[in-house]
Amino acid sequence: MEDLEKKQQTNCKNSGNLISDETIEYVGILAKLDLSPEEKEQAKKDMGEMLDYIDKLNELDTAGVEPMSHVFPVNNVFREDVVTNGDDRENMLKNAPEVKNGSYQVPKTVEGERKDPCL
Amino acid sequence: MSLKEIRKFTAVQLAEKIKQKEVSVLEALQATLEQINQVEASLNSYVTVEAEGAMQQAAEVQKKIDSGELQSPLAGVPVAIKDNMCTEGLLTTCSSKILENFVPTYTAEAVLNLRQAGAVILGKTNMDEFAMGSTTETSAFGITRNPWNLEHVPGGSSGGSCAAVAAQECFYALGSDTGGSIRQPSSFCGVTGLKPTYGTVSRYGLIAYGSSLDQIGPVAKDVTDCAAILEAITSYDKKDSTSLNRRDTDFTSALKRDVTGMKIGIPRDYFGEGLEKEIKEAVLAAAKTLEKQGAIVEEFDLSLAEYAIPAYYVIACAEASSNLARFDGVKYGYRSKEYEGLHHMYKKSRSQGFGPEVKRRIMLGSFVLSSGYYDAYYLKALRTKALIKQAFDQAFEVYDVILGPAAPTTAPVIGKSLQDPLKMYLGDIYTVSVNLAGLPGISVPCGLDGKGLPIGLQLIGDCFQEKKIIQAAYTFEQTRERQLSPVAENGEAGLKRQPREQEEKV
Amino acid sequence: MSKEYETVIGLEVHVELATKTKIFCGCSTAFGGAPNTHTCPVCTGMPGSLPVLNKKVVEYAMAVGLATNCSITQYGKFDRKNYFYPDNPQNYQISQLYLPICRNGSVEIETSDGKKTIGIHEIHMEEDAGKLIHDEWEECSLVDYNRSGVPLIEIVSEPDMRSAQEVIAYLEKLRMMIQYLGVSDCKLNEGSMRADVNLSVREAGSIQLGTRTEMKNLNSFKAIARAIENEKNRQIDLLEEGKNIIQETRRWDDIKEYSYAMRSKEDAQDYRYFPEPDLVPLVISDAWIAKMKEGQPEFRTEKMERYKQQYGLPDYDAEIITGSKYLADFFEAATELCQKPKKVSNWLMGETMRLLKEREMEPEEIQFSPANLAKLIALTEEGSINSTVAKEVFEKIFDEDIDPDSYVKEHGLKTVNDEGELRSVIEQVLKENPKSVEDYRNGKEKAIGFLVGQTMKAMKGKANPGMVNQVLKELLAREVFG
Repeated sequence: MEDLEKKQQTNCKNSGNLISDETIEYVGILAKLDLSPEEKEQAKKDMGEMLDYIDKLNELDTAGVEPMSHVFPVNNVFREDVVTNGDDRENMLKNAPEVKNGSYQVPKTVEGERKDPCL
Repeated sequence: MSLKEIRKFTAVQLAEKIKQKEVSVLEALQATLEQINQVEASLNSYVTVEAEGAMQQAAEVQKKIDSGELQSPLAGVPVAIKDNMCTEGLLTTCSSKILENFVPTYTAEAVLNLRQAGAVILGKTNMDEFAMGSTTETSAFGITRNPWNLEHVPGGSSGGSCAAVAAQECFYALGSDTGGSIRQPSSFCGVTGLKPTYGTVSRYGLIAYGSSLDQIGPVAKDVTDCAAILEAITSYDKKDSTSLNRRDTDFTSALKRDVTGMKIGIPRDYFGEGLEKEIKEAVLAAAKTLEKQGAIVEEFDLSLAEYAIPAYYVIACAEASSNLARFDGVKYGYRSKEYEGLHHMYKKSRSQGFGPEVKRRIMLGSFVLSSGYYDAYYLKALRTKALIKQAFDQAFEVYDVILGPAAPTTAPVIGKSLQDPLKMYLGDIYTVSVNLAGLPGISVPCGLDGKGLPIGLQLIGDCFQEKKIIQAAYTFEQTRERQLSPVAENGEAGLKRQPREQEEKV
Repeated sequence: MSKEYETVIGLEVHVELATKTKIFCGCSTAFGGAPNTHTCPVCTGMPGSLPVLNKKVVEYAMAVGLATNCSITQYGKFDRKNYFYPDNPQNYQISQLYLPICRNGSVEIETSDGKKTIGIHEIHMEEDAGKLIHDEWEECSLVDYNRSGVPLIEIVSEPDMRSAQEVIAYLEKLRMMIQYLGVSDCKLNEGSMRADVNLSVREAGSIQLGTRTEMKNLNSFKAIARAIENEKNRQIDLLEEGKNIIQETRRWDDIKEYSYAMRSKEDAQDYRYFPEPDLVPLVISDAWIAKMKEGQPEFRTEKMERYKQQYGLPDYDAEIITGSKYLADFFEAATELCQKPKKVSNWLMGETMRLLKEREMEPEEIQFSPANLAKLIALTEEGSINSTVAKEVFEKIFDEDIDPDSYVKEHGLKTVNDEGELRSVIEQVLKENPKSVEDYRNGKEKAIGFLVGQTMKAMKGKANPGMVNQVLKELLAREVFG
């Protein structure tokens, strides 16, 4: 990934060039997608083209413009701290591919690989 | 009254006939089911048709109408729902293999509102997988064909909803619009589709694509239906934090043939390179018509139009990469049969469950959010969004309504679009900025091109100004005859009538 | 060791808030339900579900921020932290990265080296993950989402601590404050308070920070102290060998007393944070802050003063009891029932503390009710049981929360106040111990002690000691002159 980090330092003119095999590999890990060699090649091409096109945004001077995540100034939407839901386990588990003992069954997780930052 | 005659009614007309006891709810349902029987095998507008459940609902609704309990202007009318809205007990797939077996345990708020209004839900319509696409060709359950010409796509992503309405396989439908997914297929299918102001219709139960852009809206035979449906589905929902508590939601009150003094702006940048000549002419002719009706029409520079697409794809794909992370084979949906360990199970399930377009957008979205690129792409896009909103704000200081095309082309031939994704994305040029700025927009039919394919006129309003675009669209609509698709006009026979062959004959 | 090293420690403390419902849905946060019985579409990440913020969570986070001298962020947002793991149903956690609710606070601690201020970098709100249970029979794990969506605050300190002693003092101070606020029970062993330790070492006198590691899975103060000692030594050893320290997350195994790196190929540590589009910004007005300030509860120093004034407790008692919100609440509840503050205090400071220590428990793990302690005090006050019996009964209360009234009755532990019965027992004791009676007569007054003991033994401890003494003396005197 060092390679990638170095590239991040460079400015984003012709971003398509940023998309190396390693980038596709890395993004595949992030997105949990396992691409075939052909798919990887295609993804490299598509993503490269798309990023080159997105570079068009660099023509715009956005200095001093606040990034707008919410389009309307609506604030403070709350719920009161009142229990409204009962036991609906049967319904919640209805769609699960594998169920055991009232729980969702998954392949064994190894403690060491746990990623949860708040354990 | 014959089933064919019944099918010709708009939703509001049909409800009135039902109220007057000229048509029963069951007959209305049978009228649509008959058409589905005749044309669905060719069109594939639906992922799921739930005839039996619809029969039951029809009986219940009839009872409530008879007892006077149901008074709504849509009571008893059969409706189709885009397959990205959760319906309790009814398969909801987003046209994706990863949700091929997903049966929700609850119903989307917008659909609940329709039920309240006495709608009879007869099925779930096909769409681009997870609403990602402009042609309904990315569906895992087959393409949908355009009822005006079966060799053409219906547009997307709400292609199934628009095709079903155009083919009279339902009286109206719900679609969702993240970057034009109601307005563009409405224009391709010659129906009327409205994308409301962000926050007007609850998103609770709508399977998210781009959360900050998604809105549910009506797809209908005319503007009157659109207004009535919007009135029914609009609600302030405490389960959706972005839901707005609006007071001016009596949209049907805007169904007036009057644009006197209304200021309509035509953005010059919407008529540049890439726009088909016939569309340009049809749309400018529509502007002339409105001018004749008393509107003040002016050209102006909206600016920034060309930046809307890159900004849109960064934001939508980033949100999608996160929204679609939950599809992992643990709680619901598809799980790969063979895997070694947890992460392999994730990767196999997702790689086998998602189609290429969805994977393409998840990859792009994950990349633009990844360490080191967030500022350059994601924040840059959010800043661009702010500028686009500003540009619209300035325009709406002057104009009541902005007028332009809904799409640069009419419906393309099946199989031509997905080869070049970037080119396909460019087709969203007139629709995406409306989503970025949270504005309402409507697409109304304004003619046919030389191939006999519909052209859509787009009217854009300032936020909360649905009534203005409804009034302008209604006024325009009153000046012309409603045109039916060949499939609607002639049923099965219409399927065989291929304008392309005709053209060659001519 | 050729060089002197300094250890630099910062803490990330997660505290589960004691709200009735989860942070984004109306599911109960109650502990101990059967797996997945406290879940709904929102906290299991069902497609189409949306979060709505629990107002109480904001208020609790603000309360902790105000108590730790933080400034409250008046325009805040939530962000998504993206990572795949089955305990995280959406595969993203809703948290706060860019605009956390509280910033720039401080906490004063006291150790044997004196007082010191520890900086608080920020406090943010987030949702907890579900629980993974490793199946014993099959190669699989089971997911329970009952804890998924339980509200957490994460309190991030500055790297201001230099020793395990300071870390523990800081954690104890935080825990006490949070318990006083009533926003969490802060039980380390149950996971309602969790601390991750960020630690680096540097040569003494250096201003630059060394490379740090993050240590997880620390479930007790003792584990924290051991892990700090271990990690400090591990890092120093590496430096001494001329090796580099890798910035990584490590997991502490308290049984084997060592840590190991939590790394995998699949672990990119790139969380792709971005503003949560499903939640709207949080705007906190001056008026809201003022209202929260007004509503802050009585803290330790105020409580200590009141205990001295209102209950007449000595300084020492007041200090010990107010050292834990649990003890203080317990004290007040029991006193309210029996109106004997000093007696309650004595039981808490004496036997309770002794048993807590013996059982390696924290005050918040006390299982018995104030009512049963109040009853026990009433029994001793009215002379129904003597102090030996009382201690025995108290241990039963401590372990099993028995009702002392019925326990004393069932086990016949009531002090015998029937003089007739006592007289006949004492007469028998005197008859059986002529040597001691002789000694007493001959002026060896100490001999009476032995006779008291024998009487108590015969009475199985149930005799009223005062009465035993009195009757013994009377009968011994009668023998002399009779």
